[in-house]
Amino acid sequence: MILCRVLGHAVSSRKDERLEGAKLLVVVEIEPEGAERDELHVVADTLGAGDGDTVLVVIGSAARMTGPTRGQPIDALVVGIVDSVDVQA
Amino acid sequence: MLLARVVGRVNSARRIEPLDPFRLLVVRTERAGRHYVAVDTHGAVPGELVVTTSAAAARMCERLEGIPVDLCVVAVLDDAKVPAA
Repeated sequence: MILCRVLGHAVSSRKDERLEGAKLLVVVEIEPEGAERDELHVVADTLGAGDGDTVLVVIGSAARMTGPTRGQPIDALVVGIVDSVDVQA
Repeated sequence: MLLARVVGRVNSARRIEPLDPFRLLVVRTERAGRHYVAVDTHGAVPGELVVTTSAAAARMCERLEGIPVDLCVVAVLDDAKVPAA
């Protein structure tokens, strides 16, 4: 999993029909301390994350291993909204 | 698999329900220093050197079958003889 920060929503009226109903967020990868990396992702969200939230994102087939996302053409999913990250050293 | 050092943990009260029982560790890969979050079922603590397995293989670990996980700790190393970069 990777840590990301939510930058906004991706809205699309022309998309694969299996994406209907999916909420898509634009997120940026971050370091545990919060610094942004140079990589943006579009990720599906079923937890209701909002702008500025730190989220935990799974990549790959893991994204399709939940009830709402099974069979959807997605490869990234928010699996947690992060309260805090404790890093030592 | 990656050789990584446990450097911390992630606290998240609102998460996908199947992830609830598990601790989420911040790990740093040993040479490149990239950070990832891994599910831990072995009680690894900060400072320990671990082996992580990614992608579909992560879900072949005990207790992780069928849940949305893409990285987990598969071994906590007692010792690893790795020359410094």
